[in-house]
Amino acid sequence: MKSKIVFGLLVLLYACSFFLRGEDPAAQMGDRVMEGVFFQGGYGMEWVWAAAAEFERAHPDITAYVWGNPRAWDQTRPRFLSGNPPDVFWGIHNINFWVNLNDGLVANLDSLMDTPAYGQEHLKFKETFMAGSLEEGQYEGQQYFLPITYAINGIWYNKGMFDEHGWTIPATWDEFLVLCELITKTTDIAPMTHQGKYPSYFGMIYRGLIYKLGGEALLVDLDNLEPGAWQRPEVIEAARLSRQVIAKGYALEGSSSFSHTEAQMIWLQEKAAMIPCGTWLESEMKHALPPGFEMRVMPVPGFIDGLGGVGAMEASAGPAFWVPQESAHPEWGMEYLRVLLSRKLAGNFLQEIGSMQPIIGSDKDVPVPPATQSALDVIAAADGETFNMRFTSWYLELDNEFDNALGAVLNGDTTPEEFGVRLEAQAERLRRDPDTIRFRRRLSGALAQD
Amino acid sequence: MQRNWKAGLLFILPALLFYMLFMIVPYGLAFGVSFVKWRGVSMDMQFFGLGNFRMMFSDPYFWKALTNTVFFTVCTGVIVPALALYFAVSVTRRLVRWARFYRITYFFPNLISQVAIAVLWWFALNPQFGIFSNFLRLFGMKDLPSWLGDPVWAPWCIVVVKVWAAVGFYMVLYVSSIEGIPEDYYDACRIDGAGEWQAFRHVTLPLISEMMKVSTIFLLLNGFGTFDLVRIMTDGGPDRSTETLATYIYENAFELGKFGYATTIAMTLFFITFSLAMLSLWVQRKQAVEY
Repeated sequence: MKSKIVFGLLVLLYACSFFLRGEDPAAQMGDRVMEGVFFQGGYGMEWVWAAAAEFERAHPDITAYVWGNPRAWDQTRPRFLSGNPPDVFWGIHNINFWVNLNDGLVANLDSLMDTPAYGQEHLKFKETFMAGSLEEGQYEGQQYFLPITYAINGIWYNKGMFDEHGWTIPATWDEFLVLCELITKTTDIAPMTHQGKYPSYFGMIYRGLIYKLGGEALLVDLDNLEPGAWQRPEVIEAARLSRQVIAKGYALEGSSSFSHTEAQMIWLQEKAAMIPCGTWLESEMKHALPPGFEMRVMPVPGFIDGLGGVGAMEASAGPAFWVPQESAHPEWGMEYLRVLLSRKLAGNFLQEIGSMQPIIGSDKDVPVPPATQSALDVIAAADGETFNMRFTSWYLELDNEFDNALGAVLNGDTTPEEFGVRLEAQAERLRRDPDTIRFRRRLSGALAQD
Repeated sequence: MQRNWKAGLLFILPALLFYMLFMIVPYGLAFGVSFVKWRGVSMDMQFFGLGNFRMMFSDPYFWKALTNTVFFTVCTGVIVPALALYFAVSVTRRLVRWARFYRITYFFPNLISQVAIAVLWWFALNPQFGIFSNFLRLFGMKDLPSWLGDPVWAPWCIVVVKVWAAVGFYMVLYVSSIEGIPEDYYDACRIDGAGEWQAFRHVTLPLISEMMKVSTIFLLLNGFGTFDLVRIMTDGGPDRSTETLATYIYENAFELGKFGYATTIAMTLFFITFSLAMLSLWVQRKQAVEY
């Protein structure tokens, strides 16, 4: 009898599960819902919700349901497989933009780019973006992805520390080595530290070196997987110079194991004078900034006889936002992006978060954080000369091998020549693989199909 | 008997259905996925035959990950049972004072999640502010390795953490097994003039052999499934020196979008682990010792 009662209760519990379960919030809001899913990270979510509120003000008949979490892509991926993705999306971690594009998941944004900009109706939406900032989201000359920030990478230093010791900003690599030697000899501070667990950070220095040695043409060849490009003398020399910093003892002991936050925290504690990073550094570490700490950025030192400008900075606006092709309301997703990337909201983003979105004039309407302003000033001083590399986004296998090989060079586990051999071998594997989506980059121009 | 058989089946049916639906069917589907090219973001799959397997056998990173995985498995498979057995005998045979205290202390890591353990040791091994390096500096040691940033030291650091995290669990298994041995046998040993080591060799070890078989299987599974510690502490680096099959599967599936290839590696991992488990059972197939 007892077992029958227990069995009956179990059946009842199971039946109840059909009624007592979670509901889809979007479904409860009715049909006129624009759903956006966003990565929740260092930038927080307030800027996303602010854009949603602005969207609803502009379109009172549509509800903007935007949400996010740190694993937005991993959690939303099954919805793409089942054909009901959100209307607009931004995710990092494990996302391959170009694979998604190749599999037909991404909507073409050309129609959006030609609409009037939100709040600046006299301009087309595409005309409100900083020069060159839309290219990284294009394929075959058509727009598929929009950038979230305009990231400027360089070597960050402690202004107060430099002023106190009378150190000057080096322009050339030789001057940089002299500065490092001076810091080593006269203080207990390490000239620099880096985020060794993620060699892509030191890669900012490396990429600066190859640009300043070989110019834009070299970067284009490397991005285009030109045979032999990764074994060019400038590539090997840049690896040798990178290793030189570590071999001479200019990096803080243990840097090769530091995560990004560990290294940056140690730099804020003034155990090192310089660190490679991007303009997100200040916002990422804002809760740990010591009182009065002033961070500034300098370009990767160059070469008088190099092909790239001595003061040029690496600046990029990589692919971020996109509208899923199979979403219920792609036109609403595009409209949300038009609002999100308006000059007004980009200014709010800069003011609240401290990072810059690539919208012209967004830095004119609000106070620019000193760290970001220093990056803009450096670019202005270089007459606007910037550079970037695309293979880190286009070819993830190559990017992974680049990180591993660069880390090995920095640790002294492999030679600069072997570094070139490894990367050339990986590039060759990609050239031979029929499944590799090939891109083509032109000198200072838009992309074209291979 | 027939009525009992039907009632028995009825009782296990829900669990069996659950197991079939969420274990056997996915394994079968996964086996099929290893023969296709699939990016995992749409249902577009292309039949690739044995192409993924050919790719795997010629992939140097696969062999590197397999080597590292075997390294972790062998190291933990040797060190963990040895240490766990030593601790178990010490606390059950009262060879140390405060045996109860040590029982709790050694088991403590099993109360913490693997992620928390990884983060804890990640900080402890930090070359600048980590407790380990600073402890060594108290003795005047300088130019210390960067531990997790050194391709020679990083794998050994992972081994240390895995051993630290696992030894308590196996100690408890052996303790429960040793406590099931009648005290009469040890009395008999004492009467015959045997010492603790002889008692261990001729009484303890044979009578816990069944538990040793079980723990060997667990250790194999644990070793070949190494993922979370590596993912958090080193992310497979430096330069894949700590890359395991599990982390390499994750990279191929979720970072590179090669679900077909990743599944091939996963299937290979399954067959390796299964084969080794069967081999282990066959090697230890002696009947249980009874006195």
